[in-house]
Order: sequence, then structure tokens, then C-alpha cells
Amino acid sequence: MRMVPGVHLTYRTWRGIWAFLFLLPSLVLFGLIVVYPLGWAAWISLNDWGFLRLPAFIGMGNYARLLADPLFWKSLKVTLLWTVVVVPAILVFSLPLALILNAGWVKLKGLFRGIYFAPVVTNIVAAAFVWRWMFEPGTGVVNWILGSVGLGKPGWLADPAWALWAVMVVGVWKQIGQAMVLFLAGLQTIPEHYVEAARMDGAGRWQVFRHITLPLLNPTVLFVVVILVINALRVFTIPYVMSSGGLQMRTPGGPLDSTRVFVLHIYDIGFKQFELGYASANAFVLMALIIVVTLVQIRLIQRPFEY
Amino acid sequence: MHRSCIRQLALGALMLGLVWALVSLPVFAANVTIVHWQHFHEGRSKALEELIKVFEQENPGITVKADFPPYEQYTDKLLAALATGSGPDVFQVPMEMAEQLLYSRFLTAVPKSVLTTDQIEAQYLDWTVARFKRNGLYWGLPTDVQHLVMYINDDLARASGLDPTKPPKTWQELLEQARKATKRDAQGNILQAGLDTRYRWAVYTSLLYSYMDGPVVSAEDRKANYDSPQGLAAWRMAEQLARGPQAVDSPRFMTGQRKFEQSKAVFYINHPVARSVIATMTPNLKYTVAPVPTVEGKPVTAPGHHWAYVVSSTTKNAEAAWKWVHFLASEKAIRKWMEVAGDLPSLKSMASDPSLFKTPNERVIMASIPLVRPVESIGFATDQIRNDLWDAIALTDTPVDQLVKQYIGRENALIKQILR
Repeated sequence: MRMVPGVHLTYRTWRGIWAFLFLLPSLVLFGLIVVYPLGWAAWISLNDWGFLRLPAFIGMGNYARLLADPLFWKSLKVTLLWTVVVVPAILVFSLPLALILNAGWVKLKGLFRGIYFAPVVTNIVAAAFVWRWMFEPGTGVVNWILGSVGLGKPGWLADPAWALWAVMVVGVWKQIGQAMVLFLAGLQTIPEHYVEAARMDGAGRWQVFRHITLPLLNPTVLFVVVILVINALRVFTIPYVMSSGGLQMRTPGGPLDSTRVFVLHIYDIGFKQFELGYASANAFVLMALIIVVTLVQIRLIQRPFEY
Repeated sequence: MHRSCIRQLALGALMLGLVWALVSLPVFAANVTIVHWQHFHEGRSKALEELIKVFEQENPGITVKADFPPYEQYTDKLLAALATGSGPDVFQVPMEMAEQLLYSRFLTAVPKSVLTTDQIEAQYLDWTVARFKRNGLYWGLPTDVQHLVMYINDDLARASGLDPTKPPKTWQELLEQARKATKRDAQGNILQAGLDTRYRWAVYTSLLYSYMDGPVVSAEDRKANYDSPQGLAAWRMAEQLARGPQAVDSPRFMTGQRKFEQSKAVFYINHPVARSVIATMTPNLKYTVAPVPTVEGKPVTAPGHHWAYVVSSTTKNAEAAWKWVHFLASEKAIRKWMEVAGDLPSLKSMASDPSLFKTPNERVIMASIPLVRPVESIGFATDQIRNDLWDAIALTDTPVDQLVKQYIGRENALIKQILR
């Protein structure tokens, strides 16, 4: 094929060139805002690089340092605890909610969907402040309710044993609506006649859910779990606002590092201790963790099926 | 023809010159804008806004654009901005960051045209400028000069059977009086704190500098020394104040709230600048200012702390920026800082001027000025470590000596990192 005088290329080659040209703006943008910063951060992680002094190459020194850093292990533990508590809790609440709000007998579906989705669109900083007041040990509404039914009054955000649990409640509250909407979308893609056929064959509600709905919802479940786990591993705003700010005069991630999630740990090293090289090394460990956990989830949860 | 052409050209050049002289010079003068950053504070931000108006009136060619990031995000925002070349022309930094900043590329020295080294040393209290000297030059001028004092809520003290005119002189006396003033419900929850420990920095700093005779932090040895017998004694007093059923305050009581200002605490240790917060929040609160307690048999010390205004090395208006900083550290401005914000003077001539300290509370503050012992912390993040140590004392049962050993290890690692 001759598109340019004197140049002989096949149609397939021309098509490839055109495809590349159309992709080029996106590739340039991707390179500039993803690949270049990532490469730069990788380079920084190999240096002793602080805001206030000149960098010096130290190879894998920062990575060796984090292995011996008790705060690295503490923040990793807090983040993993957050992940194994918050993600299942969201699934436990959001999937039944989606099933109920997808059922034919429920009235005012739009209203309820809006109510449950409201936390997702609420400003997280403002919401976290309100929750902080609600968890105030002496005058907060949470302890008032617990006290009025004769239960004990934990110190919540003032107590290292309870602070993370209080923050996790907000993490669950914030994300239920998002997972619910995704499950609703997934449920509405399941062909109704599959369910009808199963019922005609005598399947009960649980059997329909177990053998029809859940398998066909698998791609949505996989997507929701992957997204929630990634969110959990890089959670920042809720513990940051609830553990510091205002008049707390406390290190973010406190008390006593009980809410020091991994991204807060990176933030503290980078922007409070001004150690950008060490903070970058921690950030790469987090990236590696997210990649590994995501691949493992895809491997464990994904179930191929055909309609 | 030829002559007339030359005349016309000469006239044109003359006109252009006049236009240049008339238009361009005022434009240059009017274009100088100084970007100024300091963290938000109820009293100090208000005072700065008033000072900007005065300065701009006196210097019509210079405009000052001030920004007040919140205290907790101030250093992160500042250093990120400096590192990316988008920082302000003038900014304030705490004295703990002096060593880090003086050896960085971000500062420029006070030019001789503004103040010579000799003038600075002759005019300012030594401790308010000492840490910002390097290579015979000064790299910052003092601001937010403070030393710690103790506040007593008069009404609550009397209601607790105490006499605010006879404040506790020693830590032991404070402990006893604060215990007497602490009120609890039947379950043991605190309803009124004897001592507001929300600003724990003020409490442990007062303790350390009154208990320890030698340096609390030694830059020479690149280590903190509060694991010494005297340092441990200070932390054991902190334990008595903060831990157990006889604690005089609790992190669970009014978490993150201003207890003293809300008349929920009898004693409170803070800087004189806290007066402007009280005046704004609760103007009717009756309180007495007293020196911070000391150890039996030892003289009173008042831990001193200051910030400094510095000028960025990347500013395009260094001369105007230093002119602004010099104004902020001048007698006229200091009078405004004192009046509106409750700051203390950094100028020697003002520190002993009784006309500036009229009320009994102000006279107590003035009497403490010669007793100032400047804090020696290196690195702003070390405060976080000591705050955590205080929390660990208040919230856990781990023996204090063990906690001090653990946290001083963290602080020493940070100091070595900063001073290497």
C-alpha cells in the first residue's frame, strides 16, 4: 500500500502507525504524570534525601533501615488490621443492603439508596471532625448512648486500645454506600430469566442466591474487594483528621501510634521529619504490597463463567 | 532638513527619557510584593494584619501579602513550598529548626544595610538571636518571644479552698494543690482538672528545665540528657501528675479541648501569648499569672522559646523583605505584638521597661524575663517524641524509666540525623 509517494508499507503497518499516533498524546501524558514521577521517586528512595540538605546516594540503605524501624512494622500492622476488619465489614453491610434495595417488594428505593450513598459524597474531613466529636469520651453522643443502656464508656480516641476501632467505624460508614451501588449495578446485569428458571425448578431464595446470584456477581465482588483493599491499604484522611488537628496537639496517628496507618507513617517521615528518601522507600514498599495483594485476590476470588 | 531631523530625533529621545523616568520608576517601586507566611494564632495573626497596614503606609512602594497556614500543617507546607521553589519571601521558623535551616540553601543573611552583626548583638537579648548566628552573620530576627508561666483560675481556685494570691512555688506544692482542686464523679471520671495538661509540651518542658541543672539537650554531644537522674526525677513528677487514680488531668477528660479557658481546670502552664486567646475566648475569666514551679531549694527558671523571621534565599526582593522583617522586630512593632498578641520583647531596651508591664500579671511576667533559660531542643519533630512520651506515661502502666529510655533513643536518633 502506498500512502506516501516512494514509501511502500502494508495496510497492517499503516494501521499500526495510525494507532500509535492516536495513542501518542495519552502515552506522553502517562509518561509525564505517572512514569516520570515514579522513576524519580524510585531514584529518591535510593538516596539520603532530606528537604534541608543535599542528597547522597546510599543504594538500598533506606530499604535496610525500614526493616529495623519499629514504626514501620507498627504501621504495617495497623494497616493490615484496618484491611482485615474494614473490608469484610463493608461487604457484610453493603451486599445485603444492595440485595434488599434491588428486591421488587421494597418501596422508596431511590430514597433509601440516596440515604445510604450520602456518606460517600459527604466531605470526609468535615465528616471525620463530626465523628471525632461524637466519640469524645466525656460528652460525645456515642458514650452517652452506651451509658444510657448501661454499657461502659471507652476512651475511644483518647485510648490506644480503642482509637483504631473508632476510626475504623468511620471507615466502614464512609464506604458502605459506594460498595452498595456497585453491587446494585452488578445485580441489575444478572438476567432475570436465570432466576425465574431456577425458581420454576424449585430453588429457594438461599439456593438462588448461592448458585445463581453470587456466581454471576463474581466480577463485581472481585472489583469491589480489590478496590476496597486498595483503599484500605492507602487510607489516610480519616485517621489523620480523627487523631490530630484542631486542639488535639497530638501527633497524627496517635495516641501512641495506635492509628498510625502506613500512609500516615510515610507522611510523618516525609513532611514532619523531612526525610524524603526514606519516605519514598516506604512508599515503594506500600506499592509492592498493593500489587501483591491485588494479584493474590484476583487469583483467589476470580471464577470464570459463561452466560 | 538634516538639522531639523536631528532636532526631532533628539526631542523624541528626550521625551522617551522623560516618559521612562516618570512612568518606570514608580512602577518598579509599586511592584514590590512581599509574600509572608506564619502559622495561624488568634492573637498574633490579628497583630500582624495591623502591622501590615502600618508598614504599607510607611513604605508606599511595598505590599505585604500574608498567609496563615494552620499550626499543625505549617512546617510541612512551608518546607514543601521551599523545596519546590514556590515558598514565601518571609516566613517564621521555630528556634528548634535553626540548625537544620542554617545549613540548608533556603536562607539569606541579614544584610549590613539593614542591621550589622554588632547592632543585632547590642540591641537584642542574646538568647533570642544566638541560635540564628552562623559564620559571623545573623540569618533571622526574633519574633514570638515567650517564656513559660503558670495561670491560675481565681474563682475555681477559691472554690477548691486555694488562695490564688499564694501560688504553688514548687512542683510538690503544685501537685498537692492540683490534687485538691481535681474533681471526679462516682466512677472516678474527672469533672474538673487540677492542671490542664492539654499543652503537654509546656508541662514537661517546665519540669525538665527546673529539675535539670545541666543541658537538657547537648548539641555538642548530639544527644538529649533527660535520662539522667535529674531528668528521670522530672518525668517521675510527670507520672504523679498524669497517671493513676490521683492524676490531676486525663487525656480522656475534654479530649482536645481548652480546659482552662472553659473554666474546667484550675492551673495551666503556657506562654504569656495565651492571654490573647483567653481575652478572645473568655474575656471575663479572672486569672492570676505566677512563675512556673521549681524544685525545692532551686531558683525559679522560666523556659524561653522564640521563633524567628527569616528571608528566603530565592526572594527577588531581599532588601524590601529584610526591611519588613526589621520593622517586625522593631520597637514600634514589638509594642503592637505585646499589646495585641501578648508577646514579650526581644529588645534589651524594652525587657526592663516597667512602663510596658502595668498590671500585676504583667509584672510577674516581666520579673521572669531575667530567669529565662532558652529551650535546647534540636528539630521540631523532637517535640512529637516527647509528647508521645507524656502520653505513654499517662496512658500505660509501663515503668517511667523504661519509657524514658525508649523515647530518648528515638530523639537521639533524630538529633544525630539532623546534626550529622
